[in-house]
Amino acid sequence: MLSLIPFLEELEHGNQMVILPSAEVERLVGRFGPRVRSMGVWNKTSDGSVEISISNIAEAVKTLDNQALAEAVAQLKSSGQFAEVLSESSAAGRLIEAIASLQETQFVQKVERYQASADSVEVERLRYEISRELFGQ
Amino acid sequence: MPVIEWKALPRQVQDHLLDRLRVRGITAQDLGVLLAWINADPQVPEGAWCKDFGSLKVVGEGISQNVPKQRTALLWSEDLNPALGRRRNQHPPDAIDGKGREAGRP
Repeated sequence: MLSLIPFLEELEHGNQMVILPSAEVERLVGRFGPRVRSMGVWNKTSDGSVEISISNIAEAVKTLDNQALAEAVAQLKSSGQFAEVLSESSAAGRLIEAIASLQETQFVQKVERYQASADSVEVERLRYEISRELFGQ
Repeated sequence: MPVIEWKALPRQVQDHLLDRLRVRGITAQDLGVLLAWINADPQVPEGAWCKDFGSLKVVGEGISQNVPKQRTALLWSEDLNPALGRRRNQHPPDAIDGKGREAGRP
């Protein structure tokens, strides 16, 4: 059995993603605002899903205590149809913000690496990734 | 209010943005702000409009009021179209001129 840190390292190195389907994305946007789409790569020109890095989720969860995490899960699961719009200060809102902030920081770092790299293979890979995040497939 | 149709963005415009980015004609921070704005799936004014992100601008013009979901946006940096460009940081980043002109300019 893996302990926590090796488990998180495995997640990070494996670069595994969670796919949030379009309908779920729009439901969450309706409840928590457009920051939901910034939690990962929004496939705006294809199926409207959002790809979220599992390592970012794990990192963001660490910013919440157990009580707040339980609240966040309950808020994320609740139906948006009759529920009130929850603010950024809600537990789920804080979790979404934490994931989105990580994603944005990594995007800026990726752009800086694209600008600085002298490795043509890496430049092409980063160019593709930046283009995909900005404009879709 | 219309939204931007990113599928309609010409490939050459995308390539130009990425080329300018590579030579630091556009800053990483400004591009991060652009991405956050894109992810908000913003509604844009009718007619010509412009949004300033500092080292780049997004300008667009509506296709038809009858097709509110279709809207083409073009990305410009100041060197690409100096006639449209304005001095950097002259206006706050959220300034949108619904007439596609610099605020205060006839």
